Amino acid sequence: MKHLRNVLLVALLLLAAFSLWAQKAIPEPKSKVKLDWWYQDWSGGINWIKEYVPVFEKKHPNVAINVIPISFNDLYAKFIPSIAQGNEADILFGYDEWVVGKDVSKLFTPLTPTLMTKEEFKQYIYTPPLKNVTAKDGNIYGVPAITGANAFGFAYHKDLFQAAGLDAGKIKSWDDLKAASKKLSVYNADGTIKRSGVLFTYTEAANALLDMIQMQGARDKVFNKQANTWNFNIPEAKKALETFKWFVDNKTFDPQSGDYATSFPNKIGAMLLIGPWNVGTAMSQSPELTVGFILMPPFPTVKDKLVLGSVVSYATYFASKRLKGDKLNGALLLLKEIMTNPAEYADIPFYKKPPYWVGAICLKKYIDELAKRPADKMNEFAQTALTATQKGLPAINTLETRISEPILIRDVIHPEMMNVFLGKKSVDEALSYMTDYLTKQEKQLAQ
Amino acid sequence: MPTEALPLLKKRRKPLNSFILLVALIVLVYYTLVGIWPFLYNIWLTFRKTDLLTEDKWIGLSNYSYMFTDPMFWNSLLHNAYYLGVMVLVGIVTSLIFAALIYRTKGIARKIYTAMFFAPVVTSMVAVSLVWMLLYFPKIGMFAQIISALFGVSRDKLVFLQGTGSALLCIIIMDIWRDTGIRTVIFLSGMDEIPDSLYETARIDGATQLRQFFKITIPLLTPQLVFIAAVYSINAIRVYVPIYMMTGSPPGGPANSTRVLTLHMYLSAFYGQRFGYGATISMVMFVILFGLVILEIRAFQQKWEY
Repeated sequence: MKHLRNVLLVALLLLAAFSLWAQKAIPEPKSKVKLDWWYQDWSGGINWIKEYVPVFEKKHPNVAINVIPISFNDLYAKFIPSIAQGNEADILFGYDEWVVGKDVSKLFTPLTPTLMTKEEFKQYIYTPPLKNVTAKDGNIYGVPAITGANAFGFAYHKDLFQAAGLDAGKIKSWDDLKAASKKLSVYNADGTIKRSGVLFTYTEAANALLDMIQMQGARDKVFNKQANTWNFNIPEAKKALETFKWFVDNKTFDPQSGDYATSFPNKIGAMLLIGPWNVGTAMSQSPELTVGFILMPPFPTVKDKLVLGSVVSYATYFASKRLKGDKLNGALLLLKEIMTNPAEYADIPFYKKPPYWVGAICLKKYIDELAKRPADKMNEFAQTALTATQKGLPAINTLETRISEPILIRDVIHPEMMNVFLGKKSVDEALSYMTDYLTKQEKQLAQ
Repeated sequence: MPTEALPLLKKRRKPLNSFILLVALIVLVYYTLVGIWPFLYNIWLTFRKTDLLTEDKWIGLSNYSYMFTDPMFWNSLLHNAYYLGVMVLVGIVTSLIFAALIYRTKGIARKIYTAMFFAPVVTSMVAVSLVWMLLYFPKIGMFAQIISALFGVSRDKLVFLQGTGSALLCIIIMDIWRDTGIRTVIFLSGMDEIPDSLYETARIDGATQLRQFFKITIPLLTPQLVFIAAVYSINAIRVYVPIYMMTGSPPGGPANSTRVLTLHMYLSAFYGQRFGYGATISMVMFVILFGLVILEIRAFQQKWEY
């Protein structure tokens, strides 16, 4: 018995030693390799990654990274077709919802077990973001790094808050938000809105609508995966949409105030419902601005029930399946560095220098580090990342639809919300249209 | 003499024929690769549910039946029809007016006016769209300020691209402005071909300038009018760049009020990753464009007699 125990102990030690060896098994490229990295072109993100690349290249002198910025629309449009044609970049930036329901083993290089085992992978990355990048065989094909453009909270102009005598830290509920938006709104002599207290101009409003429905516990009512049906003709959806409409009816949101990218930095709106990335974008496009971030409060009448990411959105890094030899090793080294030395990567926007970033991060080790970090090595952005990750990631509750995010959010829900804001449709009409259109498409996709 | 020349001719023809064959073959291969094959592949795609990589399934006529009950498809088609109507009608009328005015000028003035109107034609549509997008910025943009100052209209009402009723019209106005030069030049060349004697005779008969314009100029410009109507009808069905560039994210907004067929096709295929459905929309566009091209060819084959 004792002998057997010793044998098992030795076997376990050997296994542990093997796993450590396996982790260190990615060799440095023997000759210089240049890797193309398609990266979403948004100012904050590109600035960040261009800061990080030299840090990585210094540690791995045989690997040169060429960051190629591509706009969201173009990147999404060419993501799958380029892989089908075999002309995708060596390393790809993408959102995991782009590969929902797809066999990822046909798209990218597997990262397990080459990089590390599945179990080790989960020590570095939170489990929820791994869902869509895990193939049926259990292998993992991507490194989710940060949360993308979901309805996360509100970017706000600090000076406008200060001038209105408002403290952003005290906004804990939608009632607080409504009161603040009223106080921040400025009107022309004829009573029209000169500056909106809040802007819902971007598609995060549609994400937030779904989140709000879920916050009220209506997840199974709004989407039935088995029957492939959507149903927005429910009181919870009506209440959520009417919450947004309140801001239009009470003249604290002007839905015709123009593109958020222009209107928010130009202070045509004091707050902006947006994903975590807009703070970085606003700061890099207009460095003179001081922008803060308020986490999204729980839905009215619902106590402490935060739901984020009804439509999941994790910014994820993938390695092309065409990579071989030194190039493959170079790409794997980059992904491994981000996972295992996350502070070098994530501290750039969260702590080191503007344009800052706020929001949840998928890199477990970084959050562990932040949790232990002394106060003098933290700032409000690092603190938000910590809070957002600890509160936000467990709250992720993705609706498992077959409809892609750009269609669901940008093509259907957001335009219908705009129809309500602009008075073209009633709340009931818009909800009924969403129900019919999405059900029809869901059923066709399920064929 | 003929008996001697014949073998010589035969000898010369041989390499010429093989050269022609080679050139024809290259063209045929090229056309097959970039024209016929994609077209046939597109037809094949319309019967499939595919993302081109991980899923490929035969679904029969499902894409077609979906399309004919898709409200966004009909909405997009309606927007194309509106685009076509306004673009062709207003585009022709404005260009005719400008051509008639420039026709009356002579020498350097005429050249300056022609160049002035032609300049936007050679400017990139992307650049033009971005500049006009800024001009159209709601309430505080340049157009809003000018219109408000001149006509006293409340700036709050001047939402341009942010209004569901005004956005598409704003894009059409930009498109009309951009191509006014080329239409004007075509009409001018047509006017130059009209014999002066016709106008002189009309003047002797006491016809006013307006009457001359409607009774002589317009009828004699029929080939140009038909050409422009046909070409711009095709352009109106294919329109994509200005709408994609000027309506931001999501394109086709606000509230899908500027969504046209090309955009619906693109978004369905590339955003929705429903390449089969996208191919189906493109087939409808093909049928419409094919009809317009046939009309154009017939119009050109017609011999105009006055």
